[in-house]
Amino acid sequence: MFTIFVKIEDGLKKFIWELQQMFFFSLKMISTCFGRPIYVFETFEQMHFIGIGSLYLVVLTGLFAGQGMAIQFSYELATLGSQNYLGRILAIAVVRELGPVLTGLMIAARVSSGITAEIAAMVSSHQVDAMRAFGIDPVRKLAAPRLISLIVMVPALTVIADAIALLGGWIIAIFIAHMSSTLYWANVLDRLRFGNLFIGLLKPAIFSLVIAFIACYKGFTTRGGTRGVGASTTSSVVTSSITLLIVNFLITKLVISLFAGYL
Amino acid sequence: MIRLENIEYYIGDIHIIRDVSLEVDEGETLSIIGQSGSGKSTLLKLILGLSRPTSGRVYIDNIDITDMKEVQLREVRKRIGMVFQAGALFDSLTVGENVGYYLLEHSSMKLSDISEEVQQMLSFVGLPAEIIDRLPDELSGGQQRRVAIARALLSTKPRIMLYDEPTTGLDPEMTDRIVNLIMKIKEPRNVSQIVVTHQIADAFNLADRFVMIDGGRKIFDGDGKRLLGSTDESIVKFLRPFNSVVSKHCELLTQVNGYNETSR
Repeated sequence: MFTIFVKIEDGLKKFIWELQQMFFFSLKMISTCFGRPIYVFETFEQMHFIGIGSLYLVVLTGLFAGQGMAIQFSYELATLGSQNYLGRILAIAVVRELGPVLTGLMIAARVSSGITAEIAAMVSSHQVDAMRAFGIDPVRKLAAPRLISLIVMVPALTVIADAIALLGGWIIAIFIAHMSSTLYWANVLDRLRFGNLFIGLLKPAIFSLVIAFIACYKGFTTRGGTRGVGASTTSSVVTSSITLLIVNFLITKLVISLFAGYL
Repeated sequence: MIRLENIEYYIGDIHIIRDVSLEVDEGETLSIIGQSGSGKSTLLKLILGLSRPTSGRVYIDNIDITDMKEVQLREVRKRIGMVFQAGALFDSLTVGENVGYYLLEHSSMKLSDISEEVQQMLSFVGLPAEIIDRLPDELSGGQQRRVAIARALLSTKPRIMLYDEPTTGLDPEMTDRIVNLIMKIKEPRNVSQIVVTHQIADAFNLADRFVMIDGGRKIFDGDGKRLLGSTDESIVKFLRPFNSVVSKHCELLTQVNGYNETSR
């Protein structure tokens, strides 16, 4: 029994220590975004990898998720005789929740694994040590461009995902729910208010920080050769996905509590 | 030039380095020998400030770098060139970008000038200019090591060179080339060098002095003659697999210094 308590205590200590290390690392990452040198080429390269590279994923996810949601909503609303509200409900669901969360999860899966694997492989083959030996700050060189790129690209991709999902919903509204196109878009536009758009852009901005911090931290703290690289990559995807969902819940709760009247 | 004082180093609960002190003078080549996992490479990382000792002090040119901030350490590292184990070349960059890495990052030189410097350096380490656009994966092990040496040399025109297992895994011909290259680097600028290796033949070819590390502890510090004459059980055990090399060096020492092998 005593052993179990000791193990729990050790586990908790390790978790808190890791959390503290990640916090300090995150602060360092933010600080390296300011000051010189600025790695412009690397930042644009990462923007291309994250933005253009994830576009097809986000478009497909947005389209089919939007259509799926629209079918579900249209059937349920039909039973209540409120099918005309499909556009309103879908706009809220997509802009506030579905778009940011799905885009975040897709980016977490594709990009955080890529970032962690690349940095971890460099750590494992002493390339990061070599960088430091040449007087280069590896966090500034490797992490800062990825952080900046994610901050720019995740909200942009979320807006695209939202638009595609609403377009998918429109296809369902026209061909399955047999609604008027004008009515659907009027409903959608009615709900695209500042409050909803704000929460819809706040979330991806915070998700981008979560993904960047976790992916880079896991990469830089890799130990144990090839197996360590694999373990870090898996851990990066799992941790960032779960953290993202927790953070999503917290933001939703906080915003609804504070700004319910503006939404 | 390089001085370590009573270095202790732990990773978690593991005691990696135990009370190691050593000095390397200007123009001297020191070989750190010992079994794999004895802590030799860790010593190089401590000298370069890539790892911090748990206790003890590290001095470079009489400057205490032990508690220096990373920003200050970057200045110190400009005097030091490091050739990492297996090269540690940047695998997404070409040979040319690897060799010219420091200049590309830190200088305002024109690309054409950097390219010229890179070609000169490749020629110095005995590599053809054609490989400049190749990726490290497309090179042999020996070529990768020479690119790594070229990168270290071009970076800062260092006065101290650190080599971590520069010949491990190479065939005898390539090993000879690397050994000759290391000797060639030392001469014109009186560069101080530390070569970490468990290849005894290379150590004898290169070093003025030897330090042997066993289980993180320094068990020997002296010249080749004293090393060969040592009766320490760990040293004798370590040298035993290299008897032919040791005998060859004993013969040479006999010719040069009147050393008597029977004294071992």
